[in-house]
Amino acid sequence: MHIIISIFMILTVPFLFAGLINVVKSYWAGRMGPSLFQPFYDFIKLLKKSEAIGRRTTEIFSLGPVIYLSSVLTAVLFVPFGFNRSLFSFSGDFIFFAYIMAMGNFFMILSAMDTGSSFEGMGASREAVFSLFIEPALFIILASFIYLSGKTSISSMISALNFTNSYTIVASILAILAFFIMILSEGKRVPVDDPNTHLELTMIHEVMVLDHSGASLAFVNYATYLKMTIFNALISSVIFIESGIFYSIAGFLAVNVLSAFLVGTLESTLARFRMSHIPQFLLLLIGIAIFIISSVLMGRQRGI
Amino acid sequence: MYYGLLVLFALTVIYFSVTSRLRAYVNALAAQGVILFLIVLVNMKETNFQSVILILIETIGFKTILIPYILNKIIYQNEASREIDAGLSNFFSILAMIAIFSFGFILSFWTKEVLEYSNPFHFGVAFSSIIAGMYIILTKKRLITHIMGYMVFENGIFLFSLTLLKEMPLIVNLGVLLELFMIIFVSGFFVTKIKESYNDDNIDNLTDLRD
Amino acid sequence: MLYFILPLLFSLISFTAKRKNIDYIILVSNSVLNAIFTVYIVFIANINLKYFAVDAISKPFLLILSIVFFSSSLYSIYFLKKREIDERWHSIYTLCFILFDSLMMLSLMSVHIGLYWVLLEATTILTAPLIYFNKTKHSLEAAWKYVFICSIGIAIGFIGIIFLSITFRHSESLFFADFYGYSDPVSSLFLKIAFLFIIVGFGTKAGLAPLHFWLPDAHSEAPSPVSAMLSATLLNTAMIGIIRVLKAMYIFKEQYFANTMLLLMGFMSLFVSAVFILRIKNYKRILAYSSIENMGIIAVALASGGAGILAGIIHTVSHSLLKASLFLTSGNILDRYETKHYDETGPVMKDMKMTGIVFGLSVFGILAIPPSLSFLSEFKIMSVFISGKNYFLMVLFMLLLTVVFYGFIKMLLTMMFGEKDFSAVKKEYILQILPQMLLLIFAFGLGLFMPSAVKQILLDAANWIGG
Repeated sequence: MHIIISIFMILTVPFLFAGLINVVKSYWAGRMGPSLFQPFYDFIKLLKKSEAIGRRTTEIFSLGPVIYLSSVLTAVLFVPFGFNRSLFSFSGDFIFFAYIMAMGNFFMILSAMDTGSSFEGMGASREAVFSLFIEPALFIILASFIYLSGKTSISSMISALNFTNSYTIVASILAILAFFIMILSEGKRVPVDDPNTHLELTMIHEVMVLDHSGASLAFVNYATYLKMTIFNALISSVIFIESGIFYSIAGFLAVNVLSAFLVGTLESTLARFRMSHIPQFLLLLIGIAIFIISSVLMGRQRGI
Repeated sequence: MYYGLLVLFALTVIYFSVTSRLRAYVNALAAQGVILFLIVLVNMKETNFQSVILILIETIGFKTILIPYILNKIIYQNEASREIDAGLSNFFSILAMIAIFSFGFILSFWTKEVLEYSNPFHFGVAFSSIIAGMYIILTKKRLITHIMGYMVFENGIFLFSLTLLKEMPLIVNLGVLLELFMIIFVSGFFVTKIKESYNDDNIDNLTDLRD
Repeated sequence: MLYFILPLLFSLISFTAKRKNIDYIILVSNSVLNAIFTVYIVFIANINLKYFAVDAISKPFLLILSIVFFSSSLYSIYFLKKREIDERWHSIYTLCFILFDSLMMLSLMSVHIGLYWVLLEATTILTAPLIYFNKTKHSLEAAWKYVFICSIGIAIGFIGIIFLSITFRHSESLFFADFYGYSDPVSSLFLKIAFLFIIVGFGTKAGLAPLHFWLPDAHSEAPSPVSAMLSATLLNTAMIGIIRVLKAMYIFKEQYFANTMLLLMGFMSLFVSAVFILRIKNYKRILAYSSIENMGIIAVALASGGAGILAGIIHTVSHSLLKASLFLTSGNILDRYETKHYDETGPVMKDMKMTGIVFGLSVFGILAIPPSLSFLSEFKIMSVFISGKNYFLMVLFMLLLTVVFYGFIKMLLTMMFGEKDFSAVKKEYILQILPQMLLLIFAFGLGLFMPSAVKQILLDAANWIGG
């Protein structure tokens, strides 16, 4: 039962999340906007279409999106997605989680470079630079949770958090903040990237998938939505820890709604950062991560 | 709560390297005053009315209201709104700040056996803020920003003095406050004068005297 | 303590009256009263209040302060009369000058480290308008640097005070006496850290390298009587803080670390000043660097321990007297030729005979040519080095002093017997010469013959530190 619900949520929640962001955006803009299920319709539509593949590309080009999607799908199995237990877990799986995500990104970058267009190369290099900032932050945060709980698998380390001491609360709040920034960055949302722009010089992610079409594009879109919900799941599992199945699912959905609302509001109110300002925005993540780990390290020592 | 306040304080310090608007610096300083007040309140062992009033004047009165007011006035008089673009980009500023804070935390973690007296996280934040104040003074170009860097430095020292379990004597506290106020006042006067005679308050102007 | 109402009253009068003549009367009467009061508290009364006391170490410093203040006040009258200054700045000068002196007196006497810190910092603020007095771009720059660097330095000193109170955590007070009499074991690490911060922080104000940058600027741009006060008394006032903490280091057997640090900073100061004195042509800056050099010598003397401490105290006295005289005389030369470059001045010996003689004598004094007091102190330092078999340090010390010697003699000869021809001999005012004469009489007189009372004071001070 648990497995079936989980798989069902993995398949549906990302689309609903993406749809909800668009609904929020159109609400702020005062438009009717697309339906909540529009991303899902788009997904079906793209799957039906045939794929155009450039003559100069190799197999990597079409392999990229597939590996990307499968790596994100594998990663999601290790995250407590709606439940306080993940589908799979083994001790030390946080490293596997981080690297399987990185592998997907890597193949996506390769497939963008494979087209041989300098334009997509630019997008790929930007993507590579920005994911450089995410990874150490993610590692430091997970490491501080390990230090707090003594467990090394993602689902058990989060469920072992003890909220009676102040440093855990501070660390969790900061971690939620960091995860939210990761949603913006990994999901390619404003202010890091604008999913709607097609102005050549400012695109990051959109330019990478410019040559992909049909099913490949559908996979990439779905994987990106899924990535955002992975971080949502992390946030909700930090908050709704140790509650029953019903509460944790409800909490997960509530977190999704709230974060969709926040992302949509941010996109409606903020402009995209200048390209040179993005690294410093993402660098803040590492700063936050350092605060998390030092407060945890020292707080645990003092027992305050 | 206590940890959260410390982290907030550290974030206001880092904020100095994120933005280059002078008003934002002043706001960050004012926020620091409030945070310091809350930190003292949270840390207070026995609540006695007199010391609460004193701390209230010291942090909220001086650090949040009076000094930001003077600084805003100086900024207004100098018609300056932004920090001059130094060769250093904000990216490296943030990187340096993160390095400073990491250094501070590593130092405090490393010396925690010796410092059995104080909270190492508190010590780390205070120590890093002192260094960060120095860093702001060293890298920013405008004199007014130097004054604000000095304020960060002073706030770091204030936070640092809270690591003691006992308080400084009243007379010293009052003296420190008065000095701080006078220094801001006097240097504000000089900044205005320098702006008048050089048309700018860039530190690079002040290189006539050297050997 | 009631005495300190007097300067306040005087400054209030000066501020409200805004009459030049009243300012002159105030300057003279305040300095005379100050001298009388100092003699009273040093030789006759035994002041021992809660926060302020005249102890063995502050006596020589108080005497120096009163002498230097007396002569600079007299010179100030000449300085103010010579210029067209509006009443407002006239009274600001008087006010700041008087209050500056009383603040230094109070900080010399304060036996509470927090209070000492507050008073020392207050001197920074009060002297800022004095340095800015000429209202030129350069003086503005110098005043800015002075206020800013000194504030940072003093703030670093405050960190040192915090560490001190961590070290003496059970004594709940910041009185020096409680530090010295502390009976529980102290953490040697914290004491060392505290001393490190204090020597760097207060050393900034005392003009010790590596944070000495403000000193040449401020001393060269300030009006001459102010430079004399800054160099001859303010540096000492900062030094006494280091000395008082040094005593704690002696008591808790950390003198090896303290002396190493002092030696390091002392030699660094010596080195910096030796390098710059050779290079620069601005005679006021040369004098300022010489102040750094002399503070370095004092630090080295204190660090060498034993008889060296006495040498340090004697050197403090002689440096203050001679440097005040030099700065005041340089004011004469600046007024006459309106240039600070020693190449561009005329032959001082021909134009202004008395000024030339006074300047030459002061230079001889500061270069430790006998019978000046400096000779006595530097000779003592050498003998301490020799008896301690520190030949390397001795040679280094000699070498750096020789470089300074060369730089000074070059400046002196160029200034005294320059080729340039200026118009006829101008009249020299008595107030231009008298103050320096007074200082020189003390400096050389004490070198030739030291009254037993003075000797006792110096010995007591030295014993106080080492005891």
